[in-house]
Order: sequence, then structure tokens, then C-alpha cells
Amino acid sequence: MNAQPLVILFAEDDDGHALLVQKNLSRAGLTNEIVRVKNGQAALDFLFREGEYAARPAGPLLVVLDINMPLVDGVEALTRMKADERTAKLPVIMLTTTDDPREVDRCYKLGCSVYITKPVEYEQFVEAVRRLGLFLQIVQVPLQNSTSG
Amino acid sequence: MEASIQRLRLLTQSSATFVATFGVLVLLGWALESDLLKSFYPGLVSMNPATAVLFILTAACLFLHTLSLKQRKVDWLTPTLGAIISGGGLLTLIEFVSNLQLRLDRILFSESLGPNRMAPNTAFYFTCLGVALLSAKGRRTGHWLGQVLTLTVLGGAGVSLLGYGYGAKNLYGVGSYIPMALNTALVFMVAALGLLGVHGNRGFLSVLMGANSGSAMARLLLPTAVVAPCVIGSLRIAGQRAGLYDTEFGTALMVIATVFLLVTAITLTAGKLNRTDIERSTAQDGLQRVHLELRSQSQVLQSILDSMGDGVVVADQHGKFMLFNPAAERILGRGPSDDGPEDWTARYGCFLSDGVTSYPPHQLPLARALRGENVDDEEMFVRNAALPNGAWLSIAGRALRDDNRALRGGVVVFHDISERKRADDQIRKLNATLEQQLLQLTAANHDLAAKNQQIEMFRLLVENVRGYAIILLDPSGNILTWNAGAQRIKGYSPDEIIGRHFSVFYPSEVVESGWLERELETAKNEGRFEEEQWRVRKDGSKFWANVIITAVRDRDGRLLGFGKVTRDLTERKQAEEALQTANQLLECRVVERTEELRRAKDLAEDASRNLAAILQVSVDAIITMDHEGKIRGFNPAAETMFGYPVAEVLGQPLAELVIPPYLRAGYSQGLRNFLTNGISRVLEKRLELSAIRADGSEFPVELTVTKIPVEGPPIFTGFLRDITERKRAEEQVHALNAELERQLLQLTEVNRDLSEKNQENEMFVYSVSHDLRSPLVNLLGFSKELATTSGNLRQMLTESELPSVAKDPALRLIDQDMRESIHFIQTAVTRLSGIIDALLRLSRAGRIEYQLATVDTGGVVARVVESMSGSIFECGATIRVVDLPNAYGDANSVEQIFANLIGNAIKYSDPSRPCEIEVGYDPAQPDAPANCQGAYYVRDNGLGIAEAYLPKIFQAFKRLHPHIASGEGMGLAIVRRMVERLGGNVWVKSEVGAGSTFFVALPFPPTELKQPLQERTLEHERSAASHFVR
Repeated sequence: MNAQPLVILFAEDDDGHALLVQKNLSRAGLTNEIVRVKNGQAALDFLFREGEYAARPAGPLLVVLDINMPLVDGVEALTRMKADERTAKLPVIMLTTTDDPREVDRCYKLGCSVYITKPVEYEQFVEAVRRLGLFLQIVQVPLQNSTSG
Repeated sequence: MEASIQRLRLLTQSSATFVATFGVLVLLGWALESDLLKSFYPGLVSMNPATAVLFILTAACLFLHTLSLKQRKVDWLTPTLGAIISGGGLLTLIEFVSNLQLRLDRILFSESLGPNRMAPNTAFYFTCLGVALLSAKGRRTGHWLGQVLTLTVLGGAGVSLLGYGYGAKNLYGVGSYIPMALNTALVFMVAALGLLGVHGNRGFLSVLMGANSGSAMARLLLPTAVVAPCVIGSLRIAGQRAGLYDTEFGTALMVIATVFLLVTAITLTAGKLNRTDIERSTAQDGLQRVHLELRSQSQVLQSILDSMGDGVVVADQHGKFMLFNPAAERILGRGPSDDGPEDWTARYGCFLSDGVTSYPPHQLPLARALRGENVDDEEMFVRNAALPNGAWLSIAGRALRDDNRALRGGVVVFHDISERKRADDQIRKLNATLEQQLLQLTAANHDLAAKNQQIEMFRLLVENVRGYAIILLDPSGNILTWNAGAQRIKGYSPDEIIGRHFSVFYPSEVVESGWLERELETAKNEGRFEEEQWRVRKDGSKFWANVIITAVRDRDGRLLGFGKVTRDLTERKQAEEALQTANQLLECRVVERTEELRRAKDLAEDASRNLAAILQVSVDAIITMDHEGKIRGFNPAAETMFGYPVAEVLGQPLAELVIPPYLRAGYSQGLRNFLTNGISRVLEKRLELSAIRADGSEFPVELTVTKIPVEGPPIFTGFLRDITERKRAEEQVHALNAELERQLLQLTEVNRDLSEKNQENEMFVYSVSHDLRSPLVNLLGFSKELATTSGNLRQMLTESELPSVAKDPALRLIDQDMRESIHFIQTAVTRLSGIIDALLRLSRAGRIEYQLATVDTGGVVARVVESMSGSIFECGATIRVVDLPNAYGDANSVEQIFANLIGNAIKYSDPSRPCEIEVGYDPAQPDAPANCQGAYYVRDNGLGIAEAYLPKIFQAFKRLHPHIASGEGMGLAIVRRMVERLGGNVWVKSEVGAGSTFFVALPFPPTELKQPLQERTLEHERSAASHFVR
């Protein structure tokens, strides 16, 4: 593993939701760095190295987007990502409370890799993250007993 | 002609009698030695007995000639007699010029004959007479020879008689031979006359007996020309002999007398001929006029027949065609034939008005007309090789009778009404299309109404939710809506609070701090704002509230206001009641809407019935007009159409009678143009104009003007058809179309309104449901975290070395109190999440776009049964699926419908008996709507439904057996929504303790025919391995 580890960019405005996802990912054994931002604009800033993230180091990324966010919502962020060749190929997981088939359809058409509805089945979510990260590097610790967190 | 032949026969018979009498008398004279009998006049030469015999033969021959061939019995006798007579004459003649001594004339009475012999001229005349008799009835040459010979004899005999009269022996004797006897000459003359009679009207006699003026002149002049000179001559001789004058004077006298007599006779004759000629030419002029008139009339008639659009066929009483005008041939595709009436049906391909049954030949309009019946407005379909597409005819028929009312034939007049039929068809089709469109729009409307209903329902739900205060604020924070939860939690009634600022819910110090503005600002900028804080009720008491404020924006991102949800977790159940009220309200609206649409449809149907009145078509009026514009012909249809009797209009100027004043100038100009340069813009064209009736009323006509090709000044024929009805029908169609278009526009308008409202409401639903769910995710997640944490805590405690006095109560707290609390939180949250999901599903059931296609219902049900085989196995159910016909709808929806119904049947089975479920199809289900023809059913022997609950089971959140199975009470509501969106119907029959049967009527595929149903049973063996349960 000489390359840099995969970073998960997680855009979610609800602190509770964010905490739950982070807890469950680490409980499932993923120790990748998770950068959490509170809206789509911040996510885009991170991706395009703008504003406060101008100096972030380069490295492989997995993007997780909530749809309902202030300023720039998840769908808008996804659209802009897919429109820019620098970020078009990044894997994206959409994570949202809506399971409206039209919304799901729209996201898949825009190029998202996986669409997951809240409340999250964490096994499913972790599985999706693993699969998408398989070609990238996922830093994974061996599964220990559940108490070790 | 007959009479003159009769007269000639009489002449011949008289002459034959005369000749025979003389012959017999002479022979008698010879026998009795009587000179008087022999020579007619004592002292003159006697007639030879052979001559007498030949005369008798001549008489016989003449007589035979007067008989018809049949009366004559034998054909050879006449020529034989002729041959004997001419032979006798010829042989005697030969004796005079040769040494031959047959002495035929001396065979009879030879001892008393003395020097008497047949004179040579007598013999010659007999030769002539015999040949003439032989050739009397021959052909042209023989006939002329006979005539010449007869006239020779007549002339010769006349000369001989004249010789006797004037005492000129040379005239009746030849040289030194014995002269012809006086009676012989007389008899020759008579015989020759008789022979002329035999020749009939041919030759010489035709000149005398003709009806023309030449013959008349001959009849008048000939006797004078013959008799006068003879008489005058004899008078002259008598006068000379008496010594009254000398030869010169006598000759002069004779010439003068002759000239005088002839001049007189000729003058008289000429005068008479002139008179006759004048009479004749007068008569001829008359005839000529009549002839010309007839010819022109028949030309006019022929031209009318040739150029009129209606087919005219006339047949005589035997069914033979007398007239068959070009239009008839064009319309029928075939011309006349010699076939009798019984073959007409086959020849012209006549069918009854159903278009397929052959016309019974004796019922054909012309056949009926020939029997004396009147036929009116008979419809017939004609199709034959020349008319492959066939044509519809309207036929009228009349019997033709002569002056004595005896049947002389029949006439039929017909015209092609195919176009009218086609027009009718088109109107019918147009109507059907419009009706179809109306139905489609009604369906679309229905759909939208249904959608709206859901939204409305959701809104009512929100309004009536008691656990949450859900309100809308305008951008500046004034309250727009107020639901039951708000009222319950905050104590204000809608009247008191709507329109006020939401600051009344906050303690005054909070308001003063400007916190409210910040809340709204945050919601505006970030989409939502959430806090948990103290709030004030109407009565001033405070309560702890979880508040979410969401910015509500339209599609363009414009801020419409804010949604504010204040959470109350206690009194959730009352929402169900609210929903029921909402449903009832909505059902009322559906009924109203349906009634409205039905009225619109009735209106359209009324209008379409009126269209049937177009069918009346009157027979064409035909008016003939001369070049001066005067009416020359006016048929009965024209009389009826214009209200003038024909006698009143003939000769009147057409313009003043039937053309409206404002069209007269144009008409006169057109007529003048045509007469001067032959150019016309109206001839042979179909025009639509106005005409006026006798009572002055104006009406529209269809006019075709034809010029009749007669010599001289042109004559025009106009064919007019009253198109008032057609015009009226056209206007009706226009009006109907306009009305339908107006309705369509109206419906489209309503549709647009509805869809706009729909979209607005959907946005509302979306944001509310999202915000309802968002806190739920936290509740769910963190309650799980709490469970995990408490597990960890318990492990830590167990592993710790605390004394059991402290450890045991702590473990009890964890195992009982904490676990209980966590359990209650999780149950409540799971339930809340289920309700929200179900609400979203229900709302979506009305929104998903359906893919309409033929659905293999049998296959769909088999899949459903397959996917449920786990639970089927679990409860030991038997499912029987009878062969199901295809339906027309959305395959996913149909699958969900059956999954719900079969799932329910399994869920609510009666534990006291084995569960049996049957899925089938009842093609004759009387409750099925008209477009479905039958209904699918799912029958179980489960718990059944009490009658009081039957009306409610399709409503949302209604659960009859909550203790038996879990669920949100949404299944049947969704089933009903989907079935109704597919255009079908769902209903139930049930009996408590016996089971329920759910019926689902779905529209049939447009092209599918009913197939015989085959029974098929799917037994799910109990030993089968368990399947994965979906």
C-alpha cells in the first residue's frame, strides 16, 4: 500500500445522521478518513480545492451525498461533479430520506453509483462503500470484536 | 289498296264472265245455226268456233288468275291453259304463212263452217293473249312483256272495233284473209281489260289507279282522249254521209270539236288538280309543322334524359327496355339488355339496403312499377363487375298507362346517394371520434381528479393531524394555515390565529431578542431551521416544542413561505379519524364531478341525434328556360319546391319568379355574356345559390345548368335540389363541433388548473414528508446506538469488580428500565416510520406513470403465488388458480393488486379450518362495469368481514383485525386506487365466518376475444421446501 489511502467525503447537513453513519462505518471496520461537510457547496469546494480546502492533499476519493442540504443540494452537487472531468469519474453514493422512484431514477441518470435510502441498513451501506472502494484503496483493519468500536 | 285490288278482281271476273258468255253463245250459235249469235250482228263475219273455244279457255284462265293459290288447288292449270291459247293462236298463224295445214279452226262444226276461218290477226292476238296470260303473275320482265302484249291486244281490238264503226275493213282485216269478227274484237277488248286487272296495280294500271295527281289526271283525261275523237269521228262520217258538209269542212269541224273538247277537259282537269294540290300542300304544311314540333320536343326530352343526373329507365309491359338514359348506364355501370325482369337482379347486381341480400327480382322497383304499383324512396345497393365499389341508389317508380288506363309499362327514376351515405358515415365517425376524445379527456380528468383527491387528502390529513402542529407561514411570518394539531397544542382556533404573526407562540423576551427573524433567515438560507425550545400556548402556559421551519419555494426557487412543524408525540391516533372525514368529503366531490361529466356527455349525444335529420333528400326540380330567360318547362318537383303551379309559370321570365332580387343582375349579365360570346361560368357546374319560393321565402339550392344542344337559340335546363336540410345539418355539425371544441377547451383548462394545483401540492407533500422523516432517522439510529451502548455498559459492569450491592441494581436498571424505554422508543419510531412510508406509497400510487399494455394476468398471478409460496406453506393454504383471461393495464400494478388481495386472504385466514383460496374469473359478473365484461376474483374461506365494515375496508388506515396481522391499513386503499386508475373497479362480498370474495374488474385488451376458460389447479404440497419469503 504505497499509494495514499482513500478518503470518504461525506456531505450531510444533519449532525445526527452524520454521527450515525460515521459510527457505523467505523464499527464495520472502515478506518478511512471521513471528511464531513455540511452542505453541497462545501463538498464542491473540497472536490475542486477551493476556499478553505484549497490546500487539501490529493488522493483517491469516495463521495457520499445527502440530497436535502442547504445552499447546494445533493443532486446539484452530483450534477456539477459529473459535469467536470476532474471529478466525473469519482464514485458517488446518494444517501437520502426520499425513496421516490423518480428521484432515484434521476440520480442514477445523473451518474450516481449507488442510491441508499435512510434510515440506512448499515450492512448494505458498508457493502456499497466496500465495493466502490475495491479498486481504490480502502484501509481496513481486521474485524475485531464489536466492543472495540 | 285493298279496295282497289278487290275492284280489279271484280273487273277480271266480270270480263271472264263476259268472254265465257260470248264464247258459249257463239258455239251455241254455231250449233243452232243462228247468225245473230255467231256474228252479233247479222251480215257480218261470224266468230270461228275455235276462236270461241279459245275465248272460253281464256275466260277460265282469267278466272283462275283471280283465285288465290290455295283456292286454285292445282298450280299447273293456269300456265297450261295459257300455253294452249297461245299455241292455238300461233299454230293458226303459222298456217297463214306456211303450207302447214292443221286446220285447227275447222275441227268444230266443219260441215256448217263454210269459208269461215280464224282471222290471222285473231290468231296473232290469241298468241299475244296466251303469252300475256302465261306471264301475268311472273317477275319483272315477264310482267312487262305481259303488259305490252295485253296492251297490244287491247289496242288491236280497239282498232278493229273502230274499223267496224267507220266501215274501214282494212282496220279489222288483213289483206285478203277473212277479217276478224265484230264480236271477236269486242271480246278481245274485254279479255284484254280483264287481263290488265290480273296484272294488278303494276304497270299500266298503276298509272291509272294511283292516288297521286298524275293518276287522277290520267283517269280524267283518258276517257275523253279515247272516246271524244271516236265519237266526233263517227259524227263527222255520219254528217258527211248525210251530205251535210264536204270532207274539208268535216275534217275542220272534227279538229275544232276535238280541240275544244280536249281543251275543256284539260282545263277542268288542271283546275281540279290545282285544288287538290292546294289542299294537299296545306295538309302537308300542317304535317310538316307537327313533325318539326315533335322532333324538337323529342330533342328536348332526349337532351334532358341524356344530361340529367338521375337515371331513367323505361320498360314496356313485357319487361323489354324502351329507354335507358346515359345517367342510368353510368349509375348502374351497365346498359340495357334483352334479359327479362327475372334476370335484372343478377345482371345489375341489386341488393337490399343491408348491402348483402340479393334483391328479390319480383320486388325490384321497375318490376313493381310494371305491375302497376307506385314506388317511392326505395333504397337499393348496386354492385357488379363494372361497379366494384358498389353504389347506393334512391329509386322512385311509376307505372305507365295509356289513355284507357291500361298498363303499358313502367318507369323508374333513380339517383346515386352513395355520397350522402358516405357523408352520413363520416359524420357518424366524426361523432364517434369526438365522443372518444371526450371520453379520453373525461378519463384524464378523472385521473387528475383522483390525483388531486390524494393531495387534498394529504392536505386534510395534515390539517387534521393532532400530534403535530403543521402550519404554513407567509414569507414575513404571518400564519396562513392552521391544523387540528396546532389548535390542540397551542389552543388557538383557526379564526383567531390565521393572519397573525407567529411571534405569538414565543415568550416576549425571545421575540424582543430578534430570534424569530434569525430563525426565518436560517430557514431561508439553509432550507430549514430546527430547534427545541419553550413555546407559549394561548392560555399563556409554556410547553417544550420541537420546531422545524422549512422554506417552501416554487420551481423557480421563489420563496413562497415557510412550513412549520411542531412536534407532539402523544396523540397520533386521532389522525385516522381525520383521514376518514377527508375521504368522505372527497367522495362527495367525485360524485359531483362524475355528474358534471355525465351531463356534458348527454349534451353531446343529443346533438348527435339531431344529425340524423340530415337524411331527407328531395327529388330534383327541373326547369327548362329559353334564351330569353322564359320558363319552358317546370316539373312537378319544381312545382312543389317553388310553390307555383306549372300553368302559371310557363312563358314567364325565370329571373322574376325564382331568383332573389340581389342575384338577378349577375344572372342577366351571365346570360347576356353567354348569348354574345358563348362563355359561361355556370354551365355544367354544381353551384350553391339561393332561390325564392312563391311565398317570397328564400332557401338554398344546389343548381346545375345544362345547355340543350338544339338548333337555333339555346335552351337551358336547370336541375335544382333543395339543400335547406343539408345546410341546416351542416350548420348543426358546425355548432356541434364548436360546442364540443368549447367543451374540450374547458376540460383542458380544468386539466391545466388541476395539474398546476397537483404539482404545487406534490412539492408540499415532498417537503413535509422529508422533514417528517428526517428527525425519525435520528430517533431510529440513536435508539439503536442507545441499545448498543447499554449492551456495552452491561458488559463493562459484568466484567468490573464492583461489589454486587452496587452492581446488581445497576444491572437491573440496564436490563429492565433502560431496555423497556429503548423498546418503547423503537416500537413507536418503527410505527411512525411505517405510517410515513405508507402515506408516501399511497400518494405515489396515484402518481406513478402507468405503462398500458396487454397483461398476461395468468402469468402475473402465477408469479405472485410463487413469490408467496413461503407464507402459503407456513399457513398450510391451498391456492387454486383457474385460467385467467388477459387484461389491459399496467403489469406492475396488476401484480401489486393480486399480491395485496392474495396476501390479505392468507393473512386473515380462519385458524379453525385449512385455508383455501381460489383465484378465478367470472365472465358474467353482473356488478362489473360496462368496459370490463367480467371480473377477476380472489375467494377465501377466512374470517370474513362484518357487513357494517364493508363500506370502510377500502379506506386508508382502516384495519379490521389489527390483532391478527401487522400493517398500516393501506393495502386495500392502494388496491382501490390502482384499480380505479386502470379504469376498473374493485368490490367485495363477504360473510363473517364463511370468507370473502374480492372482485377486480379490469378493462379487456382492445383486440382480445374471450377464450374458453380451462381449469388449472396449483396445489402447493405441504412437504415442499420452504421458500424465501419476500
